[in-house]
Formats: sequence, structure tokens, C-alpha cells
Amino acid sequence: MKIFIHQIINGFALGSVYALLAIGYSMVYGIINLVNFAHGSVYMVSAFIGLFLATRLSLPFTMILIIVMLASAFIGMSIEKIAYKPLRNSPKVALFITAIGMSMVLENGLRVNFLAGPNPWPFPTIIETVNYEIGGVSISNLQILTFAVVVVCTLLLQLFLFKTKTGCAMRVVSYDKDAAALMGINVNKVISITFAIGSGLAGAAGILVGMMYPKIDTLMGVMPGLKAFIAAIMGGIGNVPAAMFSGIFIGFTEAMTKAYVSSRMSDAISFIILIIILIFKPEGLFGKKKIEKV
Amino acid sequence: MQETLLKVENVDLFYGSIQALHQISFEVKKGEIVSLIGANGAGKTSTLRAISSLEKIKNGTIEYKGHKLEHTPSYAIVSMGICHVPEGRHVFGELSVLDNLKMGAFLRNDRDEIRKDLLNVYSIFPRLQERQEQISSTLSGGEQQMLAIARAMMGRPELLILDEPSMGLAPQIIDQILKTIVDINAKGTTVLLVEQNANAALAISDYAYVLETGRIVMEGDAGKLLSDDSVKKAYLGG
Repeated sequence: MKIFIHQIINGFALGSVYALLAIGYSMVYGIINLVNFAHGSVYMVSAFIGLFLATRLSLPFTMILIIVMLASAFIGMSIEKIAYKPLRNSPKVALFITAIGMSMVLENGLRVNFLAGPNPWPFPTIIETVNYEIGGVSISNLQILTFAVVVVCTLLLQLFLFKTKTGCAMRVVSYDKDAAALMGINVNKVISITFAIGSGLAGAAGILVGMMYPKIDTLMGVMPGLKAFIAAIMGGIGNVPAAMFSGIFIGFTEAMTKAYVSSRMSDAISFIILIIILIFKPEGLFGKKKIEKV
Repeated sequence: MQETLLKVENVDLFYGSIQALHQISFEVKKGEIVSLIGANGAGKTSTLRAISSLEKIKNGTIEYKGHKLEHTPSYAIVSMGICHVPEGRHVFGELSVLDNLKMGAFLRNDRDEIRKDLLNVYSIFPRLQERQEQISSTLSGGEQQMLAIARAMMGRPELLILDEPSMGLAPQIIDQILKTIVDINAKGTTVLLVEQNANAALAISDYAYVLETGRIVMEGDAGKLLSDDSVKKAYLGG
């Protein structure tokens, strides 16, 4: 029983990271119909920025979090400007391949020796880990922090999307770009903001993961990126709270599989879930069926 | 002599290597209803999309109150007072009627005036008020067209561009929409109307241009075109 509860906690913490990534996937897909494969790479780069800030400048956690989120927001916006915007009216496949290319540029670009190099880096301790024992089950302050960051980000984002004018513009651009432009909405700016927010959240995920799992490397974004993508599809594209819940669910199944089935099977099971969902509910668990009118 | 509001000169528009508009020139005077009529594929919608910068033109100029529009982004054109109701209505189906109308006033910050305009569009289209909480994809085609026009009116346009407002609607609804366009115009909004239904368009317009395969082939007072034999033959069913 103790192991079971412990696995639930682990699953929540891991899932929170997937959730942060999934929100970005979901938002970007919602707005320009692009599976942004570079998203996992932004997450990786931001972990390295965090590493740099913590080791060289020894800044406190909140400072690191804010700087990294801003930096990754900037990286995300730049990727959109440089790689995706010129292809806005090209076939979807061109955009998709560019996204894969972008992610390879980031992953392998950072492997050069004077940057990160090929070997994993130990992530410094930013906040001392404290384990709380509750009824024999231990939970660490980092796990609580991760979960809290996800919940706060999701709530703020939801408020932003539904209560502010820019948020409204964002939703409207995801429904219909031409009509949005005819309302006086600056569509390019809204797309930039979407990338900034999504990438900022990926930045937060990068830091939190570095703190929980002590080593980071340049390929660390690949699997979490794919799993967050599963979560985004599972939730139904464009739905922020659903992306969050699905992310946590994926983390949860992963922890359970590792504990009770086989640790080697855990990734396979995540993808089997994706396939099953795509077969039976292609619009996502919480998604609305979209009827394409001709 | 009325002031010229919109002046389009020698516009060429290409989709890839296909030329959609050839040297299109026309103008819209303040206070008028001007219509562009012509068959399917004549370039009517392309002309309107060029005015709103939704398509980039290759040659020519589009001038609105002395400002060049051809290099102005769409959102900035809206702020200059041009509201465009696109073909196929394009209401935001996921939003309620009221939220759609609010989006129409996106660029405005004058809350009291927005409320006044909301009451105004509700008085023009009482049906929309009855359905203001309804999700707009569940509206009928005619109601969606009303919503699209009302949404554009929320931007307080000086020039209202309407693309095929009668498309796919029942005859009574078409009459109602046309009557509304006349009312809106009578209150001071200039209207640029595109219609395949040439009879209906000419009946309410001051001036009209006839498009054929991307070229303007005829122009004149709407009344004159209505009685012109060649126009009758080609567009008015004999």
C-alpha cells in the first residue's frame, strides 16, 4: 500500500512536468495546426539555461524560474519567427518537417564541446530537498513545488484566456484567422504570444525536472516531448485544463507501469494508450467533435 | 460632388501563377451603396480580400481616405474604419452570439458607446437579442448572416464591405437582409456590396460595376444597368 501511494506521488510529480509541456503543445497546435516538435528541445535548452544560472551566478530559485521562463519564451518566439512564420501558407508537411529540423538543430547544436557537450551534466541543488513523512509515505518539497507550479500556471492561463482581451483574441485566432484579422486582431502578434506562453511553460518544466532528477543532457527533451504530445492529443487540442489532467494521467500511468508491470514497458504503454484513444476518440477525451462545413 | 472614400486603381492579383484580377479600377463615394456583380469566379471576393489585405496584390493601388491600404496589415485597416463581412459569414461558431458581437468591437475601449451600439444592432436584428446567449454555430444560416453583419457594425465602420450576404438564404430572409443594408446605409454607413444575385444588388445600389473573369467590363448607375439589355441577358435571367 505504501508503495502504491508513493507511486501515486511520483506519478503526479512526473505528470506535472508532462502537463506543463502538453499545455504548450496544445496551444500551439490549436493556433497554427502545427505539432511543434521543437517544443521538447526548448524544454531541454531551458534546463541548461537554469543550470548555467544556478552554477555560475548562484541565483535563488524564483529568480532562476522567472529568467528561464522569459528566456525560453523568447526562444520559442524566435523559433516561430525564423522557422515557422515564413512557411505559414505552405503545405502542412513542410511546416512539420521544419519543426523536426528545428528540434534537431537545438539538440545537436547544444552538443558541441564549448556548449553542453555530449555528456550529461549534474544539475546543482537549487533548493535543498526535504522529505516529509506522512503516515509512512514520503513526499518531497520538490514534488509539491512542481505540482503547485503546474496548478498555478494552469489557473493563470485559464484566467488569461477567458478574462483578458488578448486571451480572447488568442481563442478567436485559433477558431478562424481571417475572421479574427477582420475584427482588427493582429494575428501575427497573437501567434507570437502563444509561442511565448507555451515555451515559457516548457521553461518552467525544464527547471523543475532538473531539480527532481539530478542529471540533464541534450536529448532529455525527446521522450517527455512525445509523452506531452500524447497528453495534448488525449486532452483534446486547445483545451488547457484537459491538457494538464492528461499530462498528469500519463505521468501516473508511467509510474504505475514502472512499479507494477515493467519499467521497460512504460513508454510502450504510453503509446498504446495514444493509439487506443486515437482509434476510439480521435477528438480527444475532453475535445469537442468538430464538424467541417463545406 | 461627394467625397471619394475608396479608390482602387489598376489592381492585379495573382494566386500562384493564375491571375485572378486584371487591372481592376473602381471607386466608392461616401454615402453610397456600390455593388460589384458578376458570375462565380469573376473575382469579386478576391477584390474585397485585396482591399482588406487578406490577399497581397501585385500591382496597383488601393486608397482609402488618402491612405494607401495595399501595404497596411488587415488589423490596421479595421482601425481605419473598414469592416468586412466575409463570404460564408465566418461567425465564431464556438462563441455565443453576444461574444461574437463583442469581438466585433475588439479595437474599441469606449464601453458606454459599445453598449449603445449593441442596443443599436439588437434593434436592427431583434432575433439576435433573443439568442444572445446561444452558441452561434447553432444559429440558422440567415441568423448567422445577421450576426456577421451585426458584428461588423460593432466596429462602427465608415465603410461596410459585404461579401455575398444573400448566399444560401431563403428569399424572405434575403429581402430582410437587403432592407437592413439599405437602413444601415441610410444612417450614414457607406456600403460596398458583392453579389451574385445581381437583381437584388442592383435594386438597392446607387452605382455598380460588372466583373467578368477578373476584369471590370461595365459600370454605371444601378438603375441603368438594371435596364441594360446585355446585363439583363448575362446576369438577370433574360
